Amino acid sequence: MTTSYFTLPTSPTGAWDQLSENEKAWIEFIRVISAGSDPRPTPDRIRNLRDLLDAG
Amino acid sequence: MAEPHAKTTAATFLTDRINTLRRRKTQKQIAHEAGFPNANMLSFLKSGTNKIPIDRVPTLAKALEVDPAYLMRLALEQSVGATASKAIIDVCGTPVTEREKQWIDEIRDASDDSDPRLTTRSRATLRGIFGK
Repeated sequence: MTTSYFTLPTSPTGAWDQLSENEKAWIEFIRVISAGSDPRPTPDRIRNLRDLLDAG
Repeated sequence: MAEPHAKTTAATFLTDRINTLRRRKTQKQIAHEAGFPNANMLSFLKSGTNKIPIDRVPTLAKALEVDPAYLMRLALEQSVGATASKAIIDVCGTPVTEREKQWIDEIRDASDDSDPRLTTRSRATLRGIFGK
């Protein structure tokens, strides 16, 4: 009898459980609005993000 | 021909993604990059005649330029159903991509590690960033 296993893709960058609940919410929302396209953090996008977080 | 996987999230996502890429890549190119010897396989996946082969998820995700973890979640759900898929993900964990780690690093840095909540305003800004 052979046993097969599902192999999920892993990343050298870390596991989901290393993120805080708030960070998980940010990433889940980015996944949804980008349709899972794994969007690149471009300089423009980072500037907008920083403007948001700087404003508090 | 029977289409047991028609209208699944995976079939819909695949169809949308191929449409989005069509100016840059033909369906035949995507099939070749994903390692499908027969280009018709993508048509079968789009129509729901076939389900996404789990072992092809990494190459298919690369060909479609999408997050492999996300595509794996959809493929698992299509293969084993939502409940079993959730159980597998719960046990194995959800991987974080390199780009997602970069987003997290920026959020931590810009917020001075204050672990900011995802507020309504944050969601609106993110929608603006991604043009949604």
